[in-house]
Amino acid sequence: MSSSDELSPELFERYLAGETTPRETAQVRRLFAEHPDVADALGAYVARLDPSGEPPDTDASWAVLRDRLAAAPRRPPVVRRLPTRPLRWALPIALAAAACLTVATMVTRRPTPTALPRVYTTTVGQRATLTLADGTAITIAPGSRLEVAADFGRERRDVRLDGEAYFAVAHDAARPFTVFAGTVTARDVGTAYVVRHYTDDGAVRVAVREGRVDMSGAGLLRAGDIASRSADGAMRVEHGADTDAMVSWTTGRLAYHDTPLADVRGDLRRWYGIDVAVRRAASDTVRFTGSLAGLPAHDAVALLAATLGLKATWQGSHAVLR
Amino acid sequence: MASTVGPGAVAGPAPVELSSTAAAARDLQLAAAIRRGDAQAFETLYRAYHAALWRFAHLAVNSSAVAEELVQDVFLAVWQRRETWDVRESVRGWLYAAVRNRAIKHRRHAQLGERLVVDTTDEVPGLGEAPMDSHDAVEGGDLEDAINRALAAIPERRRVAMTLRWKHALSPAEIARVLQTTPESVRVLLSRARADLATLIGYVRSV
Repeated sequence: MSSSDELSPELFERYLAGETTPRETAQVRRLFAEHPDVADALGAYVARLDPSGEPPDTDASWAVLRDRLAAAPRRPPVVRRLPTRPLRWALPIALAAAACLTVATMVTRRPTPTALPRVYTTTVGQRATLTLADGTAITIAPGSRLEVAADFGRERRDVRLDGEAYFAVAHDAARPFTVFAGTVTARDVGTAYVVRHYTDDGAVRVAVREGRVDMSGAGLLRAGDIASRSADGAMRVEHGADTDAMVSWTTGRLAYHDTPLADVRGDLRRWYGIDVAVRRAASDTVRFTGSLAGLPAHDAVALLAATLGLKATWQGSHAVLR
Repeated sequence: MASTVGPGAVAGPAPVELSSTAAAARDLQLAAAIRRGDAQAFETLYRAYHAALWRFAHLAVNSSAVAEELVQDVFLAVWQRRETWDVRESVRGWLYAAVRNRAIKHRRHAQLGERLVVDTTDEVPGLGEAPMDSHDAVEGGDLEDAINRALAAIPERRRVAMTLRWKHALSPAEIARVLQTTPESVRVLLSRARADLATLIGYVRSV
């Protein structure tokens, strides 16, 4: 009987690299037999590292190369068949399951894909600009995660967002561009818009700068519309709003217009890595209007505190406003 | 996911025709022969590495035809400049590195796929990671999703290192050459890969 300590990643890794001693190899085989779920998972993981289908037939490939060489001014090489190096990826762990697997994309399940979904994440204080193959440019805010569907660009263009991002969508009427944020979708209809959905607060906000966005639960939004869906599902749409504050973060300037304090605190955590607690009744519903553009952390918090009529005390990267 | 593994169904790693060191020695002999214009040696080398290099190229360019073209281009260049083909230690490392370089150039010129530029002065090497953890277990549902999520989150260089080590049997020194970095950096990449395995195993055992 084996304890879970024996399921050593170090041992498995060396096994995958072909570096185990005969005794260790036998041990790994025994472990796989005793833990078929682990064997299956490892097999699938390794098999899907480099999904590619079958390589072109080497004989045919050589014939083509030989012709290309012959076209160059050298004498053609003599042809003689010799054994080839066996393929190493015929790994013995749970390949049958891996071969006919379906891959979960965000929208549909498809068999053996030629691409995988791409996940981009930003850490605290880190912004990134992602340019997609169709020309769409996405500015990703700190502390965010953006997933591009494996089938992006084929018949549709789907991305999933946990965080905040500004989308300048390249127009392609044949392939709708949709942002999935939690249970909300915001579909581009020729637009530039910002979507904010951090799973830690459950709310989703879409602000449209140009064009139109079809948002689930809110309908068609136009430039200047800001739709906010609270965590409990209530939807509110503001028309003719100032969307400048919604996108100024894309240039590194945090600006707020009637924004709930909870959102500001979240941004301070993601942009500066600081925790701000507010000791005041119902503080998270308080709204803040102001700009923290370019301010260093302490000054930003000081400004926030002053606006709320509070004082800030610090302990390391924690600030308390009271 | 149905288990297809039972006692006795799991064999060892596929036996290779030659041991790694024997293959390396053979390759160097082939290279020397190629330098002297030996077309048969050239064909031997091509047949030995074509499929593996195609597979490695495909990882970068995601196209069967492009991968094939890249591999052929590498060998074409070898033959056309054979007299001065300066390869030492590892022919295999040289070939994989050449394929990777061409693939990177191709990607840049073709403007395929996606480009991410990080806008910050405190750049973290290897932009963000989305490790598979218990949060994903609750959110993602089943093991399939968790595996795919984990795979999708692997940074490109780490994926290349893992593939080269587990699928192509390259040594850390060879991997370092392909990635144009130090063996120490490769060791760091592989230790992260080990951590991913640990997370995967932990996840499997928790559901």
